Amino acid sequence: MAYGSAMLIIAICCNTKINAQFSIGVSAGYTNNYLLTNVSNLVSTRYNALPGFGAAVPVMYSVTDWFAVKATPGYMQKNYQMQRTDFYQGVYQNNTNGYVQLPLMAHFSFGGEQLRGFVDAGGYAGYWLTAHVKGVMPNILNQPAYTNLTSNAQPNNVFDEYTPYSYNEKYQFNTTKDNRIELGLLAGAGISYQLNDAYQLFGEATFYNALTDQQKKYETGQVPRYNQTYVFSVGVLFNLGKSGYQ
Amino acid sequence: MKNYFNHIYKYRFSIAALFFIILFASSCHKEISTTNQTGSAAAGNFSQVFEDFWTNMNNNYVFWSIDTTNWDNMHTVYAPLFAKLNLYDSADNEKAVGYFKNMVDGLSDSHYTLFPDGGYIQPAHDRKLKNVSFIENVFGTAPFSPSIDGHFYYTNALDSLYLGDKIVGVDTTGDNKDMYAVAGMITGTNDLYLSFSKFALAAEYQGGSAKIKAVLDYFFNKLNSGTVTGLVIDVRGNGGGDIQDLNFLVGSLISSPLQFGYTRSKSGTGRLDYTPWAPAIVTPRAGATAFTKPIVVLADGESVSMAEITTMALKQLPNTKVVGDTTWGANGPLTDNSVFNAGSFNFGKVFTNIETGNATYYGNAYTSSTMFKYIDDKIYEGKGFPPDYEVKQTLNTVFLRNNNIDDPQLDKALSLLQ
Repeated sequence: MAYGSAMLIIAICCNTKINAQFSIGVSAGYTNNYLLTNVSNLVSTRYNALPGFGAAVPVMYSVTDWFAVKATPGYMQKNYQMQRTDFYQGVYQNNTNGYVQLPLMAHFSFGGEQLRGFVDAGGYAGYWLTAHVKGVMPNILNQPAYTNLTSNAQPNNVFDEYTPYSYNEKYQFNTTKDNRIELGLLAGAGISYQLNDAYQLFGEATFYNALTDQQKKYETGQVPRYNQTYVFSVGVLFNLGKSGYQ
Repeated sequence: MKNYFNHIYKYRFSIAALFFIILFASSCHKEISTTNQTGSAAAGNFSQVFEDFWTNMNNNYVFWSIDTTNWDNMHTVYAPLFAKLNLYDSADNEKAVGYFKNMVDGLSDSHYTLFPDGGYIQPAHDRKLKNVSFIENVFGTAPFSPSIDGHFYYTNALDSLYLGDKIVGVDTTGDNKDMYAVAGMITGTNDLYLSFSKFALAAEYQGGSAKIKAVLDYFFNKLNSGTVTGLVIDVRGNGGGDIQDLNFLVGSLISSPLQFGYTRSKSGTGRLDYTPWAPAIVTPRAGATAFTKPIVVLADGESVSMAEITTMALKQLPNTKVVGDTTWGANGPLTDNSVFNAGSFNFGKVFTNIETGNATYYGNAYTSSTMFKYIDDKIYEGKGFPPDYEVKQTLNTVFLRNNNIDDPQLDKALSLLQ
């Protein structure tokens, strides 16, 4: 796949007038991450997507007026929720995961002088930097105070039988289990607006698809977990310089 | 606008090719295999029984983080052996029980009991029996068996020797048939003594044996009288029981919540997927006042589960000492598997009655739902909780030549209350 992409880029460059331009900027936005896995063996359990935020420093080298190479090093949250349902409603865990990433992509733009559309495609490497868990679970060794009153009331929920324990703490990475390196592919589309010769505003929607498991291969029959993240970001690019040659 | 479409048209192949590449590569995830909910996998042969057992152990066993058993290796070794067995051959079933025994022999979980078809495997007990000083081995050769339940401690002889004023109760009919409890004052002292054979105190108190309730009423009346100068709680030989007894008994000795450890369970399918540690807390009974006089807990190698948890909770009080021997080492509380998606499970569903819907399983594994860690950050599962004062029981010290008995562990406890 990498070979194919490289050949495509080379072919574009060899047949097009070169008009190089270097830009740098900032961007920030909203993330929505889903953990792709299989929990069908767990009773009344599902995973939900959770929102987060991301920020990056986009660096773009425009080869032509319609093609550029872009990198967006930055920080991104890839959050998700484990939720119990039915009788266990109320049990959940929100996982807040911070990644530092280096996405590298081909950037194709099209349209007029000021308002242009663009699509991005490429890959990324990330490092799982931080993790935090917040949730509620039954606490088996924290029973309600004993009373002499007997009750025949039927429990409607797990917390009618167990005291809930609320937690909000840093997750301790496990070197045997946690794979903190993430590699994946991305694709995005957006629009840009050229304010003047120096500044360009843009908005973009990007999909990051992890190809590596969030866990190391530490057990037989392991059920993998992949992050799938949508990012909706806005930013500004500053043109540092421009040179044209053929 | 025309220019816009011209650009798209001009590079339509490049753009399309790039997106096809992205789409193709995005589909390169490994297949995420389907997994069966605990107890739902049908099994028609030994390979399927084995796979169901292995997978359920992998997913539901909570001690993988401290266990030394190489579970992947068990799959490598035993999958081909089970594949050679016939589920409907009695000789092969005997072989299978042997294989299961070898697989679980080193597990840390000291509650762990496996019931394969026609079998009974309790690794912790098997390990302990190999130790000549294990109390069952010591008393296995006793000249007589004075106890109603096979244990030395609950004897009228012992009670008579040490207790002046006393009350004894035995449940002869209820759910806790043969449960024994005794409370009394140590002769010549104001030290209160309580012993019972299992943790079903609250259940007995609320609707069980009137005799057991009478023992507990005696105990609480003495405790609240203000005259007691020391307390002995004897959980030797106590096999454990109901968690609510923690608040029922220990909760009557404290006036504010007492944290003595932590529990955690599984948070996912993976072997090392764990919840955070939740605090283990004893909640005082309404109106309870703190018992600040010396407390001695008597525990030994037959103090199991709730007997150990109670010992550890009481040890967290500044006025408590533990005398006797290291406990059994089964500290992880149990509950229904679905509460934490962890713990006990059936495996190998070999038959379902289509009229009743009842399933018949090849076997069942009885195992903890949670892992317990004491307040000192140590996990005593599989090791046992050590006493402050170790006093070993031997036949020579317990069974005296005049066919009477002595109890050096209780002697030590009483010396600490002086």
